[in-house]
Amino acid sequence: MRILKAALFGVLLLILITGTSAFAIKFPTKPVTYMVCFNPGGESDITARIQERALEKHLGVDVVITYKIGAGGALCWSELVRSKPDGYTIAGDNLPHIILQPLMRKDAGYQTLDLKQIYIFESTPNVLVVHKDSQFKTLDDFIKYAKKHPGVVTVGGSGSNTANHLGTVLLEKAAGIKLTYIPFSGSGTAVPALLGKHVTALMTYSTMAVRYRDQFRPLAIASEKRMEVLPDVPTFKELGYDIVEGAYRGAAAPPGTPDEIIKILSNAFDRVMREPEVIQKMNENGFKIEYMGPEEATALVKKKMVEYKKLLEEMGLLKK
Amino acid sequence: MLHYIVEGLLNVLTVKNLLLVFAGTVSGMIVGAMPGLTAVMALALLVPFTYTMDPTSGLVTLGAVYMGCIYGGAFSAILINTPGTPSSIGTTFDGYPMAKKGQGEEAIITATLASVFGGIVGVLALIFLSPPLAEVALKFGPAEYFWIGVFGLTIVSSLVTGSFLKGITGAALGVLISTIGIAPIGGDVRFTFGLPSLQGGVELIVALIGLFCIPEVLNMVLKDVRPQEVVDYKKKKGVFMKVFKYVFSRPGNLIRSSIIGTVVGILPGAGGNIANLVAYNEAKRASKEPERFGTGIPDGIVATEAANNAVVGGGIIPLVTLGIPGAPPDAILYGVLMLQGLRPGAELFKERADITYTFMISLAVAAIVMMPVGIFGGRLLTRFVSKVPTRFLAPGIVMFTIIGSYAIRNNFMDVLLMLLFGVLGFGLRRLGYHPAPIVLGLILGPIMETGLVQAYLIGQKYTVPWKILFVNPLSWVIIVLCILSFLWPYYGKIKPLFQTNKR
Amino acid sequence: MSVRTRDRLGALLLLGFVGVLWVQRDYLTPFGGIFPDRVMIILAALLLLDLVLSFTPYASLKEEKSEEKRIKTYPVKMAVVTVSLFLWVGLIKYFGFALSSIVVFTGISWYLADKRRKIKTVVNSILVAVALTLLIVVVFEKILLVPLPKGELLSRHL
Repeated sequence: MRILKAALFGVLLLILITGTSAFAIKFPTKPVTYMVCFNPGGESDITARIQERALEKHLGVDVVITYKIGAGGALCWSELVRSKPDGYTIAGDNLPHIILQPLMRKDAGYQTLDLKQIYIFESTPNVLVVHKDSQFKTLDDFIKYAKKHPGVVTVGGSGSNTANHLGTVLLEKAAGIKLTYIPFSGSGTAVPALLGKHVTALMTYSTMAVRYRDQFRPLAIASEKRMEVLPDVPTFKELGYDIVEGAYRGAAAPPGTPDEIIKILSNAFDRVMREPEVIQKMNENGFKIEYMGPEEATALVKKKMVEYKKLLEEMGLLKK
Repeated sequence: MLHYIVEGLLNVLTVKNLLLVFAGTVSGMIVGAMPGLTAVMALALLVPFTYTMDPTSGLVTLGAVYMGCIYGGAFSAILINTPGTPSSIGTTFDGYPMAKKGQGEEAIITATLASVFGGIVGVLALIFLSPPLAEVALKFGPAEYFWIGVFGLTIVSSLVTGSFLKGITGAALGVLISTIGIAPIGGDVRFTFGLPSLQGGVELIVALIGLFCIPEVLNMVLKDVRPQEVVDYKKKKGVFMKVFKYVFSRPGNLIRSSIIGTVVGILPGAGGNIANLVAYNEAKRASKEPERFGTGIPDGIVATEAANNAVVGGGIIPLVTLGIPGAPPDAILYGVLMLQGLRPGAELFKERADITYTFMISLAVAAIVMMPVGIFGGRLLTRFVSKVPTRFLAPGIVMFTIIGSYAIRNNFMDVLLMLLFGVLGFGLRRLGYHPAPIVLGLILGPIMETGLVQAYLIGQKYTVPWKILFVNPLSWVIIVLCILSFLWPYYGKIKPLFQTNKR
Repeated sequence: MSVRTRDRLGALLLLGFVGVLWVQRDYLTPFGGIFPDRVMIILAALLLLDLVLSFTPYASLKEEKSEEKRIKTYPVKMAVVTVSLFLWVGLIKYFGFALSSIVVFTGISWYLADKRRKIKTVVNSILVAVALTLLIVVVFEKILLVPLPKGELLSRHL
């Protein structure tokens, strides 16, 4: 009897040992590559750089930031979906880019839902800013003038089919005005155009409104609530225009990455975004910190996919 | 301000910072000398290392690497006819012929002296003239950028010997190639042959190393003639003093080229890649013997190398005053400033003056460090390249072109494109199309397209939108410059006609 | 090849390239084509001009000084190397940077040697290829953390 018991115990133990080693994943054990899809010095890059050290601390391995720039991020994401789904290659991803590109291009090289969301960690609401010397003191002035002079008011922003672009279109619709949107390559390159008064206004991200607070006058922000770093800037909603639009940034993994690995990564990002030093730097730079795990992030992506598709249809930009 | 400068100088002259400057400059030079590895890449790699440093040391190191990188590009331009970075494209025109004549060492010393001088001029402008010069950058709107692009194309005639028609055709080809990929305005996908990986377009570096490196390698094999046999390395005495006297006895070229570099550096979006070609053009134009340019004379090297190192200081001017990167590598410095909580603007020059001035002065020190390192290193490198047999040198160069074209954005397609450009470039050269105008077109294409279409959009307020291109006085200044630059080559031919008429 | 044939060949080739791009024109917005369309027209015009001139006495006669003609050339060698370069890049796609580089580097440096029969040539070709590749992998991949191309079949180096 005793021998039988011992044998049974032994077998159980064996199953337990082999079982755990088969199911528990040891991750990560080697450096993780974190691809940045946009230019150095831009929002995506700055976020990744702020996270870099904290992420290394919480993952316990080196995090290697590499740049894969081109085609408005599509080059990076099409590479990501072809990478090995082992969690060692992740990339920053941006809404609305990852939704708009597959909708508008014949072959963007990836599908929106191919990108497995790990975490969405920040957003930058759109802010409408004018030059400090501008004749427009309030959003009202701006809209009144635009009504009288359709198409004359130029609004610069970060490229075609970006959150800035959509924000401008939404403002046109909400206020019944006609603006001329001028795309620049990135939020940073649009800045000199306003500083040199080559455009009337910029539809830009909160980061730029914070960074150039001495030179720019923000008229309104497209967030639900006012931002702490820009306490005097009213929201579009307060002023009677229902516009909430901006860019969300997060990290994504290749399709087929095991959920356990996604969980380990998203927990790491969660802890990173709660580090006081990270919070302070994010706030200083005008980012709005978000805490969206894999499920929430995917839900947001799906919700936005429907919204943007409708908007593109109205703009006549849906791919044929 | 003076006490900030003195304080900054004392900060730089500490053992730790001097070591950082030295190490940074040397490693920058090594990276810069490798075809395909650019200053942007070197700085991006270094950023994580600077986290562990205090802000001053971090910036000092990055600045030194930047300075060294731009200078390092001259080595490969002179010795293997391949610009190490896009900033030394023009250095190949006279550098390589000099090396062929057995004057590789003279060429490198010339490049060194010019780089040091240009680097210092750029930094002086940065320290003393930042605020007023930064304002200049803002005057340039989309229409002006378009005209700048056109102006850039007018220098084609001095880049090539031989047919002007072929030169301008090559440039147009380069411009056309630059439109492959996503449209900067509108976001249309263009000319991708149905390949998603072509969405990103043709990266300048990929085309550059393809067009310059691969034909050179193929030529080595085809003719079995290359620097090694031609650059018969002999130890010469008194070379340094001879070159020193030559370079500084013609200060006009040095000063003119440095100013061109500084100004081009200030303009956002235009960097050393444009500055060196413009300076070469102007040097050739001002010269009494323009026909000797391209045959291997030091003046050509002086122009390009003084200009590209002046870009370093110039490009930082709008960065520290307005937060606008003047040249691509400055975008990385910008990211670092933001991470360290250093906000560009007046604040940087008052509250954080200690950091700012230390950084600016360290750039000048880095420029000076290049002198001994460059002269010693240049001698070693010349000797090394001349000793390695073709059968190792040729595949070795190819290896670096593979690493470089891949590293630029970790895209396999770029490696293949690089090779295709190389083989096509070799063929086109046989057909009379030089690679320099094609690369010039690639550089200027995006600047022209963005400027033109943005201007068109802004011009919607006029009945004829294109009117916008002719509204600003500054546009007219550049247009006149374009016309003058375009007609200049013919002036020399017309002048004798007038003189005979008078008689 | 005479200058005239050279000019005609070049012009026709590049016209072909312009044509290949032209048929791909399919712009979603009114802005995507503003610039490239004009460039294509200008380029085509320049090429046609070149083509026409090649039939007239105004052909671009200014040759680059051809002292090169006296030098002995090795076109076969060059063709072999060109093919090897494509092979190199092709191998990288499947086997990654390190392995492909060792193989092709060895091949080229052996092929270009004067005394191919000698064991010494074979040995030093392999040694240099292995040493240089290893050095590069260590410096770039391990120290600087610059990624080198990985293969689809062999995802890890060595």
